Amino acid sequence: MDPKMLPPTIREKRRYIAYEVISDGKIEYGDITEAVVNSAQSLFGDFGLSEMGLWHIMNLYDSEKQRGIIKCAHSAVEKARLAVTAVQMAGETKATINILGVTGTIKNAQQKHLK
Amino acid sequence: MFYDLHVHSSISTGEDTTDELAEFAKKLGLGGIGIVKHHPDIVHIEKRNDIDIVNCVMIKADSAPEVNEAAKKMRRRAEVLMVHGGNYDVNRAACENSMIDVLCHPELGRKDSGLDHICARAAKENDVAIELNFRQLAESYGTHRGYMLRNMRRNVMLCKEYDAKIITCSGSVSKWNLRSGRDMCSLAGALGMETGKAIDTCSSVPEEIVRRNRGKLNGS
Repeated sequence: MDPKMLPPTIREKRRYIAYEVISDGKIEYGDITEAVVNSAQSLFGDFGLSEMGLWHIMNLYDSEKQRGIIKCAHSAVEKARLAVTAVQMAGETKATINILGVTGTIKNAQQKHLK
Repeated sequence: MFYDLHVHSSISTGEDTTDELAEFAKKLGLGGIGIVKHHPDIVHIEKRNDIDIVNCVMIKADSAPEVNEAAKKMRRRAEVLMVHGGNYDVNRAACENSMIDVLCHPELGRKDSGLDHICARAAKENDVAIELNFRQLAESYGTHRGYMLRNMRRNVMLCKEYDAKIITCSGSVSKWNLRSGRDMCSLAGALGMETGKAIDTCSSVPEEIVRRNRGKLNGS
């Protein structure tokens, strides 16, 4: 059994960063996750990474358009943006991540940026 | 007086003897250490005059009924009764059992924090303290360390929200894992507790647990 979802009043507030990857080759979900986490870790360290609460949402990654959503803590949006923007390589391919926008809900991020 | 209630000596899974650990703890300024044995092993531990040696028993179970059964058996034989956390069912059973004193590392080996609002509320009602384990921080690295810290921070947030007790322990298996009380508190402080309350996690909270249980065992 897993822990229950917390009530909305005590749940941590989140922000959703919609992004697109610009690269020569095709980039997979795992490559972006690794690149973003490594970038955040090298910029802010293990403790900074833990404060950001980064989570790359797997089932929202569109491998055709190379767009997706990264979840982060609302108090660390700027740090998360910086970490995402600092990515230069994803897997073996040179790539840059362009942030499309930051929203408060997944639904908004999908409607505004992923369609 | 600072206490470290989670120390493994050579009588359980540790490397050093109780005396070696006690000498080292004294050097670090600790007022007491809890020597942990795993249920159902019971070994008599010699008390010392210079440092308070607390007799702690750790229950390692796979299910909630096992926790409750072991707690009934061990309560009269331990000064501090702890549960090895990690499994959500075990974590919840520990929080809901008033015979348990400490739930150790509820986030161990998990992707989530291992606690929810139900556990935190139950921990408050049953006076169960949630442990922050310093060795987990010291011995982990990389991304895993980041996620582990995030889970600990979430547990601290839940305990603050429901006013449940938190204690910080070294979880040491050798004397080199031991830390001074004030240094261990920095973990709780860094994870979002106010400095005063962070210091309590190593001093007044464990001291109160030990004092209360000794009173009960002595029949007062």
